[in-house]
Amino acid sequence: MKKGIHKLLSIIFIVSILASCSDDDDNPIVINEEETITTVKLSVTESGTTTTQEFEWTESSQDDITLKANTSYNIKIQFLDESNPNDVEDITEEVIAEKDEHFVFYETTVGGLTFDNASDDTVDANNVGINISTDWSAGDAATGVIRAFLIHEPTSKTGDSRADFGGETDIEVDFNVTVQ
Amino acid sequence: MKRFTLITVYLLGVTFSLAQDCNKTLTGKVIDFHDGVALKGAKITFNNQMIVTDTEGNYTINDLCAISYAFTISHEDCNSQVVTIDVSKVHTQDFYLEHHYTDLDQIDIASSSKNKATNSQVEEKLNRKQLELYSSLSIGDALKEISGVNTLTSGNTIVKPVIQGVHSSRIVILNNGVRQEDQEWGEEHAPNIDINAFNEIRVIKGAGALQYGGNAIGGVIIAENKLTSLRDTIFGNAQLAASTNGQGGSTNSALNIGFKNGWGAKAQGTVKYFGDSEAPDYILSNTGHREQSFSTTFGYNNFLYGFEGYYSFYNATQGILRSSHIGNVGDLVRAINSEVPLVINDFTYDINAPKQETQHHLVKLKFYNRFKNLGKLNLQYSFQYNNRKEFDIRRGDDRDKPSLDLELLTHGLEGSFLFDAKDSFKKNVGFQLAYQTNTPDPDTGVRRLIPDYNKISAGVFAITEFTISDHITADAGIRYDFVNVDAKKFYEKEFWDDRAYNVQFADLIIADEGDQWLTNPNFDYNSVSASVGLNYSYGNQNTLLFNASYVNRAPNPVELFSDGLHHSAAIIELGDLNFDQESALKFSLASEHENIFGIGRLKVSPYLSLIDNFILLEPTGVDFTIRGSFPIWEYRQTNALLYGIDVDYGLDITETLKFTTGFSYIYGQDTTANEALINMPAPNFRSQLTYQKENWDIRLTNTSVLKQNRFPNNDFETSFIRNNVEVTELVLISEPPAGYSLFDLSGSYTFGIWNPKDLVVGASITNLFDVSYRDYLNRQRFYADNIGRNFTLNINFKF
Repeated sequence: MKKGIHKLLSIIFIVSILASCSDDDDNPIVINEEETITTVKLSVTESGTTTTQEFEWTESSQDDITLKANTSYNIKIQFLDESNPNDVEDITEEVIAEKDEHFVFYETTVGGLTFDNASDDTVDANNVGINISTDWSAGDAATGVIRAFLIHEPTSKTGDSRADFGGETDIEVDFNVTVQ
Repeated sequence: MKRFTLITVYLLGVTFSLAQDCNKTLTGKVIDFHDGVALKGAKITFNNQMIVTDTEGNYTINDLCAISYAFTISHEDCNSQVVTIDVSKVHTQDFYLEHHYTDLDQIDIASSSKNKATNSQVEEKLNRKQLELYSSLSIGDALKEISGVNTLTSGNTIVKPVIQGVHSSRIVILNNGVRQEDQEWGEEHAPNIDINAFNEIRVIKGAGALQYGGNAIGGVIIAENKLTSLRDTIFGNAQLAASTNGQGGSTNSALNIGFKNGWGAKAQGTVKYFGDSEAPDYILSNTGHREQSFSTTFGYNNFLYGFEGYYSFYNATQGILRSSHIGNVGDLVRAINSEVPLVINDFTYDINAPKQETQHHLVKLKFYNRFKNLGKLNLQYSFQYNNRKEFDIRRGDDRDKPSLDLELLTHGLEGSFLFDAKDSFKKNVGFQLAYQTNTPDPDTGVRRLIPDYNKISAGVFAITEFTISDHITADAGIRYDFVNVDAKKFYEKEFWDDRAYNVQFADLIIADEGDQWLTNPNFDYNSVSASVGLNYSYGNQNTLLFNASYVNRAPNPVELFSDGLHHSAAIIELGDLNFDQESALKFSLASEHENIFGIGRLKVSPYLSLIDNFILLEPTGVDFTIRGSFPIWEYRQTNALLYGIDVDYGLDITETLKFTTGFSYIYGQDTTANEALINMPAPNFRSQLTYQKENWDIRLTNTSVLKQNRFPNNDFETSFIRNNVEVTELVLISEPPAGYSLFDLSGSYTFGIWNPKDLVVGASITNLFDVSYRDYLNRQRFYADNIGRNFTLNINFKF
């Protein structure tokens, strides 16, 4: 009987050595997450002009926005996956394709700065604009931040603060803003 | 087969005896096979005659004819044996009977209730009848009946047992003798086991049961379903339960076949189907669950040798509360501030993301052989396949892809030899070998939370149990464990440098993959564990147990390798490659009194454990990402002190009315940081009043949980914009919820349709008063209340 155990033990030992050796060569493949949004881009166009300024937010660098006092602007938001610089993906297209489940919202600490849907905004099945394109009007000179949210599966699309919409926050970034 | 032999031989005997001289004599002894002791009072029967052995176990049979006889040798507590002897050739013959069969193998569950798996550890047991009450729930729910056992839950279906304050990798679960390997490391990973597959579950509330594994700092849960054999029998049951909460039900049935000749087989299956559960005030959206499980065993047992094959399958889909899936800290604060969950939909049976799909297959082959005057050899091989898929809410093409898909394969080989020839000096030596591979599926498109790894573990143990006097039995054990983890893990280069791994672990890098390093952490852990204990019984059924154990646990893959965003929990979870083993020194004492001062049964069990390098997960800061801010939860090692007491009291008020109550208290302190340990169960009481008369069984149960006032302060700040002003707010994640008290009422009536007591019809109402409450150890306490009143109808038919 004891001999039997020895035999079994050595078999198991050999098997496990073989198994562990054979694994050494095939390394697991790397995963580069694809659905990540790396960049939020705001394209800001002063009303009545065609000059568009672009401001980007990435985890390594954030652009500051400067607006003119008492002036109107159009701001379009874009969500990009630039994790592979040779293959930049525009996630905004996915957001628009799933417009019923998405909503963009802004909060700001800049006094007198307000926004509303633009006429070319994307509307969902209930005819609610999801704020991909928004019209802004700046008041007197002030400084602060614009906080941009992309909300996934909001429980409501009406309200005037982030808390009114429920859902999960996919994006929450701050842009420093100076109105002068 | 033996039966036919008996009949044939008997007939032959009768025929030949007419024609032969009958002056032969057969003498010998009847001996206990396993310890060689002569058995007095053993009976030898043949041809309607019966001879009884004397005090030395001797027998003499006179006036036998020179032919073959079939002798049936029997003894109280032993399994009878039929032996055919040709008296013309044989004059002396010793018969060996297995005297300890019943207490070693517990053939009859009902008669072995006093049996313990260990000598000096505190143990509790749930029998078949108690388990049947939980047929539509989980093992964790049932184990809460035991004082000192709590549960760590994620909603009401993902339930993990907590033994005296510790859980997950610190508890070993034995599924019919096989150590369950189902990724138990995660706090939201419940055991992949169906409660209906077992007819007995035992909990060892101690660290010293070294035969089951070296790292069971918290204890061992032994779930068993022994094969019935050694009698010709066929029996089974079919059970159906339907519940209002979740608007679903479960059904399970089992069939057992046993033969006198030692063969036996059984099969059992369960199906559960539930929709969304309901709290008193709202529907807990996306909390449905499905479960299908099946197990079968076959084998052959006799007192010399036996073997067993066992297969079990478990498959479950569990919805995770929709409103607990959050995006960032802001969402967490909104959830905490909201009285009701942020997502409440209409009731549905549908289960959407977030959800878990888990599957477990287990195959076991076991063999044993007894050796005369020596003991019993056990050998066992097992294979387990575990697959866990976790689905988060995802966008676009990845919508239906799991975010985590892990495949865990485990081969186990173990053997032990129990030297039980001398009842007063038993020894058990053995080994355990396991080879495990974990393979995360890269198709998820999400970086692997747990890496690819191979793990080899080997352990050897020796334990002994010896009688010091009539009243005192001592035990001692020692164990050596070796664990090797060989992982292939990708680290983001930025993270690698942040953690200073580039300095300490530069040699682990084996490939450069863009912004990630592929590394090959290969760690060995060696440890020695030891345990000593005493069992002292005195007076009228009083017992005092004492045990001291020193046990080590190697860090698990999550603790070592976690390095990123845990999407569904919206936390960043960080492990540490530097972790050393946890070392626990635990002292436990139990004073059991069958009837103290004539006013009932009492069991008091205090314990104290000192754990060096205790690994815990706690928030340490906040990280700002494009998705907003996330709390960072870091695993860290510290020194911990845990002590507590479990008290059980029972009183038979009248013959029909019984009262039992259990209380447990635990104190957990981080002695390095000098603060309370996180997630320690609050003091709790569980009391039951049982009325049993004739066919009625009515129970009123109260569970009261006090508020946990000892907790570390992990609150942190985050910013919000309110009315164009940025304000800072504290995120209140530390304070445990208020205490609560729940009542359950259940009743059953037993009918006799074809056989006595073959049909039990019962009904139960849990959370009778529909109390809204939250539990500190429910990971979803920030988002929703626990479930409300539930009415269940239960029918159990036995055949």
